Amino acid sequence: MATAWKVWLCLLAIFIVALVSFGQPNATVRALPEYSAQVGEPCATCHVSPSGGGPRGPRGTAWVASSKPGAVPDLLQALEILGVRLTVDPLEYRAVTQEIDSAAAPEKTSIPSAELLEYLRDYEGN
Amino acid sequence: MPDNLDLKKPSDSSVTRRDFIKIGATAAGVGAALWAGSRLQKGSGVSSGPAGGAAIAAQSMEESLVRTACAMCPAGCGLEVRVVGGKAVKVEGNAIHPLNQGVCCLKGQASLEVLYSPERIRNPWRQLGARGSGDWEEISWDEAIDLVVEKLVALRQAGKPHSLALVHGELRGEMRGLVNRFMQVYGSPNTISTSSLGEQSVRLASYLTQGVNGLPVYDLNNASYVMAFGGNLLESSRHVISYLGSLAFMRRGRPQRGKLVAVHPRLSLTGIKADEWVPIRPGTYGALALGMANVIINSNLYDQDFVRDFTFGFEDFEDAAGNLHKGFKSLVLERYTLERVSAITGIAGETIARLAGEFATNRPAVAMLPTEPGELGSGNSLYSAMAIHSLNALVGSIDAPGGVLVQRYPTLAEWPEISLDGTALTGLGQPRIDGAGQADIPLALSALQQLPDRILHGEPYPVEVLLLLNANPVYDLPQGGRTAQALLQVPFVVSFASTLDESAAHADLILPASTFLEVWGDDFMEGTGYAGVTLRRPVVETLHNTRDPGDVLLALAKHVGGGLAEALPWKSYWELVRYRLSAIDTDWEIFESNGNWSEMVYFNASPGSAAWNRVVGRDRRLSPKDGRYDFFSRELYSLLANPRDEDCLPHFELPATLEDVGEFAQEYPFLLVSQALITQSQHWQGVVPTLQEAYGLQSHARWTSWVEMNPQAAEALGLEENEVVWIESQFGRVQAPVRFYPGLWPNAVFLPAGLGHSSRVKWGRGSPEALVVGVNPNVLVHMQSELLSGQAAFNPTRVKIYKA
Ligand code: SF4
Repeated sequence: MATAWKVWLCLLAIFIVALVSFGQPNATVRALPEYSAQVGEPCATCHVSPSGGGPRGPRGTAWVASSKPGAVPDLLQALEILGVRLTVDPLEYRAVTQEIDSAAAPEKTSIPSAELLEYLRDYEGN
Repeated sequence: MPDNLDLKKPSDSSVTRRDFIKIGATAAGVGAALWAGSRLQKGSGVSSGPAGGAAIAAQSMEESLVRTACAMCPAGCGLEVRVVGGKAVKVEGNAIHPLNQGVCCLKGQASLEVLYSPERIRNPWRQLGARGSGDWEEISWDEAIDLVVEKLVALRQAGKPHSLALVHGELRGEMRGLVNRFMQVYGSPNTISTSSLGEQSVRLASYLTQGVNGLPVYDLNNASYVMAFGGNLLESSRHVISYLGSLAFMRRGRPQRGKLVAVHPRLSLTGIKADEWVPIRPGTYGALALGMANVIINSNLYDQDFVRDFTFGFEDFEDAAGNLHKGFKSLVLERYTLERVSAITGIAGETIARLAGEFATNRPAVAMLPTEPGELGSGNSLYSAMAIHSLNALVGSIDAPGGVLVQRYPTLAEWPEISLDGTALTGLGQPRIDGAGQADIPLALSALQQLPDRILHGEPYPVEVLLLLNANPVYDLPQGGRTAQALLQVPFVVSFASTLDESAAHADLILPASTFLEVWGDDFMEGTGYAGVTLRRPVVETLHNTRDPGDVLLALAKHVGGGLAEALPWKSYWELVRYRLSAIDTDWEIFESNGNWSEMVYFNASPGSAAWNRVVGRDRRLSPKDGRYDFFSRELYSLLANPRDEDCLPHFELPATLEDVGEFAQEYPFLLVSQALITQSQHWQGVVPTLQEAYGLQSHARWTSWVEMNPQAAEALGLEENEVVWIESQFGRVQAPVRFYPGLWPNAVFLPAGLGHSSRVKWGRGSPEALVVGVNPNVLVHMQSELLSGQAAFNPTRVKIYKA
């Protein structure tokens, strides 16, 4: 009797562990069709891929960040949720003129190597 | 200093988690005791800044999830660490981090073994006996700081600040700025990075052609054709996690499937996962790129509008004085015919032609450069990198969707003004101890490989104090034992190692660094193109009496005093980071809660747009910022005295080891190639058992080194699989069991990097007494400096193999 009780306990423990681990964070990174059904939007709303899965875009990321509410935030809301304020002006990235600068032929200019290297060592990033 | 750094994720989720626990407990009626008192606080681990003393979640079974930044490799993923009762118990990816989106590789997961490693040094150590004797005593931090300050003050008083040198490896976030500022204001030009062993030439190639002083990143999500020249894209590249996600998407997640081609002498996991592996003779990537350019140009498959309007030096041209110069097109058509390139690379002409055709007609196409140590280190790295990068310009993939992106960074608060005193100015006017910038290597940002010999010869002056930060030169470049000798010649060596690595063993003093899971900091998000920062925060209280090297440098600055203290006025490294990040226009609470901030959107600059000059020509110093990609590098033309046209154009130089076909080549018939593996951590943090268990993912070797040989070559030598052999070069020899591997260039051999460290702990399954796990392949090579770039040149090294 005692053994049966122990077996039962073990099975129950496994069940609990399975139940709890289902809620682990890595489960949240999988694309699930249920999510699409839940929010009534196609997979591409959240994912870069139209068929879902893989990298998420800003709207998908914001939806996960806000604990997956019933609706996916629109792009502006998403950026706000993620604390993003753009520092670039998208218009500057579009070509508006067909005039092309002519190429400048190379010239001999000089700068001390140490100064150039100091400049190059001062790069941005990690 | 932040008042309250509690992470608070939106509450719904934690309620759900608690509900889960409650349901489980109620339904079962058992196991409740296990969870009694358990309370999951998502995101709240360490609840206050370091100055307030880290109050870790409870001594009970209180549970929390803490978001931080991984430092096990340069990818810089966001992590979410589960902490129970003040102990970190599980590492996962941060689901809302743009780079890894919840994914975490095995190295990240194994980082807890670094945190809890028995190899960690727990207190500052002073060497009592002879350097390298292992006769250490524990001292207090005050004593340790005083010892260093005394030396630093004395050097400045003697007017020799330049005789301080600092060698560093990867520095993340504000650390590089702090180190550079410290050394500059102190008055030493000798901040020497390990870049010459890795990515230096790639950075320079980007600068000399595209005019951007940065490492290129690649938009694989939108690419149709990806050609990875060298490296190990899906195991060890700088952005491995985001590239893994992007490639999966590129090949399976979108309607039009893209193609990945991996070019390398060895078939790695990247090659296995690629659509095509192209085996190539070691050291000849540049020739392949030029051969492909030949086909693309010959067949008029290049982007003619882009090349005409937004590049320079494609066609022959006349300079202002009327002198005619050769352009890229002429050079490539004359010199890099299919027959010649096929003979150099060992790749069939039809294959080169097919690859070129596919690359040019499946746009957007992108040619990727490797940054891992040794990958381009064949003495021709700069021009090879320029050649490979030029393929991107030929097909118009510069800042185009699916092409090369220019990594952006946030604008941060300005560093305070500095004033350099006379001592600092004198010191900074001295030449560098590693010779970077000297006549034969004028573009070398660093030349670490030259340091041992120059120290031993006292050139150009003796080094009096050497600081080692995230760097282990005795392991990375043994140079036949000369690096260890050089360290012994420096009167005072200080290491910031967290375990007793080979260089730290030769130090006078060890100021043990806390692990990345115990400190505050930041990490620039790289790989996506858009600007972003990941926050690093302690997930547990510092386990031992260790410190963040950032805090130690600030303490040294304060005690040295004067201009140095004024230039670095922060009380802690975290205070410095908070100051710098304060300029980011975001809600700090959200930033903390998410564990990262980023712009989320990358805008590609159309050629000719106002932003175009930020992606082409932006950083040029000597030549016009006219928005043109330089096939003919006008920077090089300006910089070099009497350059020939070829000196300014991408071209191919045969590595010296391949030129040799005489007696020496017959005695040492094999070419040792390198390729970083996913199981190799970036910096040695002690032996990590989980990584050792998986070290040879393909060879199934664990807790040991192995040497891979092509089966035909092995059989010709009469070797049996797993037989122990000697691998010997001119410079040293090591033993390892041989593994037959058909995925290897016929006369290449491969020894895994990252092994052969000595350990203080008796690890290892096969040999419980072993204090060294595997062998260090670096003992077989001798690093020279490539002309111009100063990149370490040692690949491929010739070796012979015989039975042990
Ligand atoms: S890829 Fe690098 S940064 Fe990301 S989890 Fe793995 S080791 Fe950490």
